[in-house]
Amino acid sequence: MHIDWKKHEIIFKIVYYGPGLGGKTTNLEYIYSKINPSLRSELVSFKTKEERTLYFDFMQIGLGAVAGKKPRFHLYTIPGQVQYGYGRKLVIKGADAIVFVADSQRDRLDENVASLQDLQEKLAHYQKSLDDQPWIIQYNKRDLPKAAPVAALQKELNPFGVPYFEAVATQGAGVFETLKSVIQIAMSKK
Amino acid sequence: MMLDNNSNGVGLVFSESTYRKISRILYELNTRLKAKLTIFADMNGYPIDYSGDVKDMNINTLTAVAAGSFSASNEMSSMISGHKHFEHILHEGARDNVYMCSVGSEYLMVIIFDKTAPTGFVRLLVHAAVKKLSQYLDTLRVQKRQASQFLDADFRSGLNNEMDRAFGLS
Repeated sequence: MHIDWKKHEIIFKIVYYGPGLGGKTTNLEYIYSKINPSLRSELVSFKTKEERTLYFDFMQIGLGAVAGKKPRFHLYTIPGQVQYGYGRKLVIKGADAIVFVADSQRDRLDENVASLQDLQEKLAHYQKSLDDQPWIIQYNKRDLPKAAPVAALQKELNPFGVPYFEAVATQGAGVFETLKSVIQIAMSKK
Repeated sequence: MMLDNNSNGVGLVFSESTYRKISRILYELNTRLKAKLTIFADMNGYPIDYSGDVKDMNINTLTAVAAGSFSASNEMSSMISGHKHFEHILHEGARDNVYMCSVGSEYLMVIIFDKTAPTGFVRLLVHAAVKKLSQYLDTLRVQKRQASQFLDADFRSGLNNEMDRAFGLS
């Protein structure tokens, strides 16, 4: 969290983490397309020729003044592909809270687990862990026929008992609920 | 130093004079370099203050991207030469150049200036400004630690309502 004392802005850093092609960028794209344009910046993306996230996506959301202070949220995604580990390490630095976007499909379970392990490793670099870092899970792609039951995903990915949301990011289901929850979690741990 | 009381009556130490001094350093640097924009930010991509003409640029986005670029370059430096980081980086553009340098290990300066300005002169003045800024870093760190006092009950409850409205959840 950062305070801009001059403008009375409170800025939070929220990072969307998870395996490649899980829907992190889709979350931001949906938020970008639906939220009042006066409340958001442009969505900046560093993409490869194949439209995969190379470094990160970034967007700022600025809400109206609350109790005399202006809340601002910097939303980042990380590059999900395995080879861009350096980028993930840099992006999660200073994150106030993390959304782990899991791909609900049965055949992506290994990638989800590997990405969660990767997150643990990256947090360890900053002397943090999944026990003390505020984070939540979003089970995305709930609409796909190969989606595993949430109970099965919970068993594999959420022994931590963190809050979770079901989502279909392409249609927007669960996207804003996830965002609101991660912001609340970020504040509650301060 | 002055106390800025929040609605819970918790005193926040807000060093207005520190910010005025930082603003002054940035203003003088920007003016002497005839730069377009000078930003002082933290390495996480949060702008602390800036001087110059923002025009239609989003300062938050610009700072986030600059901090990301600086971090990526430092990662490259680590790969090349172990743990030694780049202290300054110059990007040469068609019309404008961007000069970035670290201020201690947690802060960053970003200067956007006309490419006709001599780079040596830029480096010289920026180096002097960084030395001046360095004396205020401890104050900034203290204020960062106190930041959570801003999050009182009024703020949390008001924010929930504001999110419901903005996110279409009400």
